[in-house]
Amino acid sequence: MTDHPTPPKVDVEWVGENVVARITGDINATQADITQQPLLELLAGKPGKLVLNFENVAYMDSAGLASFVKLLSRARKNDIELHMVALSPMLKGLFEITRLDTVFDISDTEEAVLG
Amino acid sequence: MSDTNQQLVRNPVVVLGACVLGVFRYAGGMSLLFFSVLGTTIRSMVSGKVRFRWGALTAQMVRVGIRSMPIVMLVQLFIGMILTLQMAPTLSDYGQVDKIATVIGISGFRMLGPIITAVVLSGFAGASIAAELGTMVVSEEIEAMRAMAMSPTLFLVVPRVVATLIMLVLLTVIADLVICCGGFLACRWALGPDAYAGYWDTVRREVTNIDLITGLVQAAVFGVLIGLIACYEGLNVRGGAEGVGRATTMTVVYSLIATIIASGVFTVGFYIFRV
Amino acid sequence: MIQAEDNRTPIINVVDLEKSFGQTRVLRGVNLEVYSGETMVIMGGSGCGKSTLLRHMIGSLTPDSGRVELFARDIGSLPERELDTIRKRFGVLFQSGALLNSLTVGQNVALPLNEHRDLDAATIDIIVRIKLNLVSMRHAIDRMPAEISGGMKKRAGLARAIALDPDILFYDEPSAGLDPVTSTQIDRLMMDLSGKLGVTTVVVTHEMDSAFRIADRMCMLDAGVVLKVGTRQEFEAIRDGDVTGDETTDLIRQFLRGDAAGPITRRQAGSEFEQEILEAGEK
Repeated sequence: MTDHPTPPKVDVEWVGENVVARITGDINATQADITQQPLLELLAGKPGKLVLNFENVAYMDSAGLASFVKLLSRARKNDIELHMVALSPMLKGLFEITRLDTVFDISDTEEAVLG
Repeated sequence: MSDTNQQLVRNPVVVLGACVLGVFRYAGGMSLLFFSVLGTTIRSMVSGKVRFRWGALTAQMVRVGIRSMPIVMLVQLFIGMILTLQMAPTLSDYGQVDKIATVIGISGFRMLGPIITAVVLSGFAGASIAAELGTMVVSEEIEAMRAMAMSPTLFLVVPRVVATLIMLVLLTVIADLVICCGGFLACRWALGPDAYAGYWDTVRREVTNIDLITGLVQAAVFGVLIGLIACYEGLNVRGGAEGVGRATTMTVVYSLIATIIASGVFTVGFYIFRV
Repeated sequence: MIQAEDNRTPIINVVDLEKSFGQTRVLRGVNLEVYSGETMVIMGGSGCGKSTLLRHMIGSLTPDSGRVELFARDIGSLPERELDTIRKRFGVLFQSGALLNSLTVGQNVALPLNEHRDLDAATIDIIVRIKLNLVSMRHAIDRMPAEISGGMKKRAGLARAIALDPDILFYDEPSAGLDPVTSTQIDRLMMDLSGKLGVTTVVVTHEMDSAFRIADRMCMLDAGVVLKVGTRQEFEAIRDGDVTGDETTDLIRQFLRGDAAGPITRRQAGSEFEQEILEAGEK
């Protein structure tokens, strides 16, 4: 599953003062930077909340995980709330087993966070 | 078990055969290790894929060289003094005590410097390398490295062999000088001005670059031999702590044998080609 | 998960594996298939060859005959460099943990990341902390292996084994030498890794409690041959059932139950003792 990953892609939508980033593809060691760059730029736009939608992410490895830890540190420093929504069971398992589910704000849907 | 032992005793052919096979197996294993070290070293220097471990090399150089330096100096100082006092009575009978400097200088640079340093290093660094790698075998560390796709040759053997090579050459340079100092001190304290007045001038005049270089070439070869033997013994430890002890002992024994044989081969070669 | 196994290709395939050390035939034609995502427990008494089998699967030993395939590649015939690319896809927890004693716990976990992944130091540091937290060893990140207990070494070894997010994890006697609580913790972790992340798991053990807790399928090895491969339920049925009169089944049953009497004991006692002792008496 690490051999032929789909290159990741980030679609951005502003909802009022909040921003939703929908990520598509696998997030692994070689590709974490591709998603990381646009997300860091979003922080510069000073949204109230940054919502990451993982609906179309099937796989994430430790390096991918680490890249979101970095993003969270940056967001906290800038007083921006970081939310994660629509995680697949595999991703949920990954966050649970690494106990990062207590560090990140994880919800089921975008509406739950924005509504 | 006792049956096979009895058979061996009864049949010298079997014993001889076993010995010859053993020597071949050992030489074969050593050659394989040598070529793998050579290949890995060259590849890590040339290609970008495999990185040469400079950090590991410096750590090993400190461990192999710096720590054995005091012992090498002490031993060589005494060698110089002992040799001087041994030949002084004979030479003075013929009124030749001024030749002490020549003998000390040439024998020191050509033979005693490299050989005695190699002896010290095989007991000091060789034994500790074998013990270290042997312990790593016993604690499954080597197997774990292999399972993590990390080559023990690249990470462990190459730095150790290269370090023994470099440090044995450097220590030999120091040893050469210390032997001459030893000789001078003995002359100064025990013999008359005939022996010590022109001592350093004689050394400078009589000892040539060839003497220095032949000594250093030998030192380099001894260094590779000691490093290889120590790593080979260490990596092939079987049977726990007892095996580590055996490997340490055998490293010293084989290093000494290899050093002496190599030195013999060199000396014959130098003699034939008048080097 | 297990029903459809016939039309799947195994992720690990051991075929007619034989191995001798000197005169001793340790493995005498072992066949075993492990499928993606399952937990296979290999059991057997001391000297049955289960450790040797594991060492073939991780490429530490090469077969005398037969072959071991990982990800459909015969690892015995691969050159070292290609074998290395396969080695990066599995992790091994050795019996002693096998930490490098010259490095701290944190450096040990970072080692495979430093060697095989092109990551910046900050990312590696985050990953190391995540992995150590996973095995509850966060506090020991700067300790040397010599300063920590056997159980801690094992947990740190597990953190290192999963550093590269492997597809397969091999465990050599994971509960040996551990207190019951740590042993259960490791079992739980093994189940989480396989259940939540889908890591294929191969465990060599003789601890039956742990084996029945974690296994999807089990393999019983005896004197270098596979006696039986089956689901955990099948083995539970043998363990909880009555003596059958069938030598093999009863032998497995005795092993699973840890009974003092049974085929294993009879075999150990042997019939030659009387003859041997009388011969000794004649001398």
